Amino acid sequence: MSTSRLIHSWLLVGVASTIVGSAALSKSALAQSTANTTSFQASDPGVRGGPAGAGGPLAGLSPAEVAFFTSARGVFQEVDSVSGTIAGEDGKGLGPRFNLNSCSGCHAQPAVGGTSPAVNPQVAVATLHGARNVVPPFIKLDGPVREARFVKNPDGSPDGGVHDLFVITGRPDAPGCNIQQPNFNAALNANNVIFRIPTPIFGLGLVEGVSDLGLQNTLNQNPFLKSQLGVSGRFNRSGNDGSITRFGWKAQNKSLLIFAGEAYNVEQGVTNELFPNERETDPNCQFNGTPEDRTILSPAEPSGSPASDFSSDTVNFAAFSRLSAEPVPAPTTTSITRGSQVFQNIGCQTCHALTQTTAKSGFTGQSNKSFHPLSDFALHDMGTGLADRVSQGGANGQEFRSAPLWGVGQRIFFLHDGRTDDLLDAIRAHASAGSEANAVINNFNMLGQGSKQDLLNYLRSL
Amino acid sequence: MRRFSLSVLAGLLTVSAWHQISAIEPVPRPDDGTVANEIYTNRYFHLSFPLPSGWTQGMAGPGPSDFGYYVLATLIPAGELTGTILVAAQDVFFAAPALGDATETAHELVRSLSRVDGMTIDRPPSEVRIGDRIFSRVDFSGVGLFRSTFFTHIRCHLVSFNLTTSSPERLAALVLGLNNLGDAREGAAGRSDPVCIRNRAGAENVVMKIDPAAIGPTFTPIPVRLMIGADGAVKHVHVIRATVEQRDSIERALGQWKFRPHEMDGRVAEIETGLLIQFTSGGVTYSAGDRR
Repeated sequence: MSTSRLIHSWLLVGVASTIVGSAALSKSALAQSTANTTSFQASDPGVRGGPAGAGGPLAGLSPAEVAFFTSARGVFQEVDSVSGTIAGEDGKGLGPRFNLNSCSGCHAQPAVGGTSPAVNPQVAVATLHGARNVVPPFIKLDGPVREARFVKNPDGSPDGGVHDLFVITGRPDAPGCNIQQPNFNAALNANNVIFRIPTPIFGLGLVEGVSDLGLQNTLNQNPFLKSQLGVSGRFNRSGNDGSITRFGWKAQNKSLLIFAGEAYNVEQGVTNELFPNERETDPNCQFNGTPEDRTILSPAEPSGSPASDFSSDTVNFAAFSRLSAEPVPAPTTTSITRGSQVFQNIGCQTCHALTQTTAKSGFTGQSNKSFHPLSDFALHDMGTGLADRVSQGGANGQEFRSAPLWGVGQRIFFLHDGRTDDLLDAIRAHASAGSEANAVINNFNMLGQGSKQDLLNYLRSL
Repeated sequence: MRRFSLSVLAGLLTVSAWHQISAIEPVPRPDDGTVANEIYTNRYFHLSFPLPSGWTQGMAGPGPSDFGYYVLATLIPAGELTGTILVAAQDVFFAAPALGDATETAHELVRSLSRVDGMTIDRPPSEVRIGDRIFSRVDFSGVGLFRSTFFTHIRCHLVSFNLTTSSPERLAALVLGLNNLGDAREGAAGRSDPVCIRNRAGAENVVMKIDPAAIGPTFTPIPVRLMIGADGAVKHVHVIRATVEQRDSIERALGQWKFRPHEMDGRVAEIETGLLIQFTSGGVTYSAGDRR
């Protein structure tokens, strides 16, 4: 081969290598490398791939506690039918009205216990086993799992309650039941319906383990940072004893057990020892003695955890949540480190507090444990843009709990109603008339595109 | 006799009319400042601030918090967002944790900022005079944002002007513009403000009180500012944050309270003080408001 041809060949190899190398760069890395060009615009890198960063038990638990977690996770995946008589659907008590037939159907992304999956199971469940449901227009196959709440009653008084999407009418295990779905089209036309998506349950035992004083101390941190950003915040409180409530989109629920019991009854229609009465009162649709879910007196098959075997489903759900580990972030990079600085510099952490600490715990290895939920679990006024006009406890129609951002990197849908799957849109939606976040979002909007990208990369690493 | 009766009647009507006028004359609130003709005016704090050229009012901030924090105004350029001015106020009666003077607050801010990764303190706390007011100023920057915060105390509120821009030159221009901050007091005949005093609404000073009807949500603290006349009668009730029903209940009840007149320098004085109300399942609880 001549010298000139050899040089030409090496040049071609060099060019080819460069092309292959560029193609191998991740989207975010490519975004980093072009961050300084004037045409570059920051964008959400999308759902972080790779193994799920959550779904296992808390570190440090005893063998018995791990066994409880494992068995409880199995119960969480149980599929319910009306009377437990359909093969593969051993759970009893579905309906008469429901949103889905299993906990893990909604709480699925990126692992059992998470949030809304990419394919909405509500579309299929609408007509499962011959049920005569019409899929409401706000439920899409590629959209988020949703529950619907009506803002007002027909007489104009406040409603705010969940109106289940589906009925058991038409199923072979619901003979004689002939109730109809709510008129969602009329509610939509009257602008009388709002939506909520599932919240992930990872790490919630740690949240439950923070004392009220601990939460208050965290909220009281950095008052001077907050005061120059328009941020305040306050807790939702139990009307019974004034203690802080912390679970749910509006921090309306006191404990994981109450949260589980309410969800079991509201979302699947299963009456339980915390919510023992059917919400639907049509006598033709009552097929089981209540509560349908209760403490087991004689477990049929031991699972390796007597605690799980004797406990009701609701107690199992709460245990699964309580013993579940917090999401693990992705390994850090230069951009992620810069993004963490951006997060703090522009003021996001004044609501999405970086660290909380548990008090003395009754569970092995969980006392005085610092963890990073990126939430103060307080209510903040989010303005007219995010308002859903529903009050819960002390939370008014514009207030929401700071959504914990741990695990956000592997979530698909954002905000309380799942209105967007783009983190950039979710950030911008924080700003509207009356929002405590306006100054922080102004700060975000003034950033260079490179800093915005770093922030997005950081969030997707969580 | 008839002339005497008419005189008495005229006097009574005059007094009644004065009370009517006093009752309907709006009492300024911290958060009722406005932007008009490119000037931000706040009668409660006596502030008059000409907006920088080409600036306008941004999106409204949140309502007052349940510990008396206000976003008074957000000012932004009309075009590209190159900076913001956020004017805020914290009622010192309800702040948690308790606030010191403006200088102490500036130093506390610096301590908080020093814990933020990537934040730089460009100008440590210093006192600056703007008009007839003394402010404490802190400058800081990070991630391409340049900021300056000015603190001062007005009527027992910590008032702050928070300037943020995307370049140090723009920040310098905004700081220069702050020198135009004036006094919006209503002429030489304007009334002086009541003296603001902590912990004056405690039970030991109350001569007569009526409990408001307890209305939920319960266990949520409700901060209230009271203006008490020299005669000890409540002249104005400002419920800072509550539901409409709670506000009505509190205004109706507390408007009838009477206090021991406050003496200063041998004379009784009109004062302004704070009270924290909480409706519980058992009724109503009060604390003096100072969260020290």
